Amino acid sequence: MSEQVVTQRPPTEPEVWQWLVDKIAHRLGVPAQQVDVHRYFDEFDLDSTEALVLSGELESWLGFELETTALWYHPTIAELSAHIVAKRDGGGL
Amino acid sequence: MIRTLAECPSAPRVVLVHPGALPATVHQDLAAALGTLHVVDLEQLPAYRRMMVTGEQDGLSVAGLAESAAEQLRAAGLLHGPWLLAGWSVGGVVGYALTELLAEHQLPAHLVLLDSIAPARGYRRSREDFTAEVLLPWFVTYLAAKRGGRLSLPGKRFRGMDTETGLRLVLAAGIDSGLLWPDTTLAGLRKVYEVYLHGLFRNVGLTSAHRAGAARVPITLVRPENGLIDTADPLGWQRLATDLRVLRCPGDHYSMLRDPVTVALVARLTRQLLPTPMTARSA
Repeated sequence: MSEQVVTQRPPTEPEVWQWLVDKIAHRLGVPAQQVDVHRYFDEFDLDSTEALVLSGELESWLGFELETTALWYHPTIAELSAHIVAKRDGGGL
Repeated sequence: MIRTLAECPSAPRVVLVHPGALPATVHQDLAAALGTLHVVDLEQLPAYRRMMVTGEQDGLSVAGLAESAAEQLRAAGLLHGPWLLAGWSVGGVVGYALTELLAEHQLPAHLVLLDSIAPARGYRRSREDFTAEVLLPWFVTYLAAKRGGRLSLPGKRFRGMDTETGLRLVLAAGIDSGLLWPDTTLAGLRKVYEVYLHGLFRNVGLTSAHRAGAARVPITLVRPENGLIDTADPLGWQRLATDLRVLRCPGDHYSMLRDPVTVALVARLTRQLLPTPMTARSA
């Protein structure tokens, strides 16, 4: 229940990717290698509340807020990870 | 935008305007009790759904939503013969606006409102009118309905609390009751709360901006035991409708939709208000 510690160094794209894979695998109760990073978020067996919880926890881990539409426009783990890093590196954050 | 949850040729036609927050399938039990239920699911409109996430109004209005609903109902051939219109929450306001724009021969026989607050003077609100003490108990009932469980956290438990303190209480109680995963964090729950507020304030804004005329059809308002607003008067509808009656049911704003007593009450009401097609033919 405690707040997660924000990483000191900005995470790389593979780290964001891995964080999402681990979280979704944990929620679904499956091994991480079974999580397809190119699958749409809404095709995972997560309900909308769980997806929002995940989104809030991701922001907490990253240390910044995502646009509320980020998961709409970047609907897979691979696309969202790339977007987060591109936006940060491009000075959008 | 229109989803048919049940369709029995011998059952009276009922259309229900659903504003999201909970999936449209929340009305499945009602559909089974009625025999026929067509749900106008406002969340299928991208601009409306985006407002839920971003809180941006995007030029949407109750009248515009009603116009979209009318087009869809017309296209689906659902605006002829006897039918009954219902709406939950702000869906009731959109349903009311729909009756304002339909031709006389297309009007429903009756409008049933499920805990809807009228777009009427004295009932218009803005987000500044709501404190954490008011919002957090609503959020608890929403969360319980969304997760398909129960969470007992009376409103008085939030007295004097700010949002962060209140969310910590919800988080602990949610985990204890099994509604939330044991490792859910405050950051995760806060996101759920933020999006809940976007949807709530979107609906408050839509309702407040709508200028409604006098009712064109009789109205029944169904109010749950623990509705959003605890007032003796019928949530402002008395300012718009003269042919108005109020029925009470168990539950809260969200749980009423699945409550078997409420489902039976609305089904009975529908049978009273509309003859079945078979009865109509033999009459």
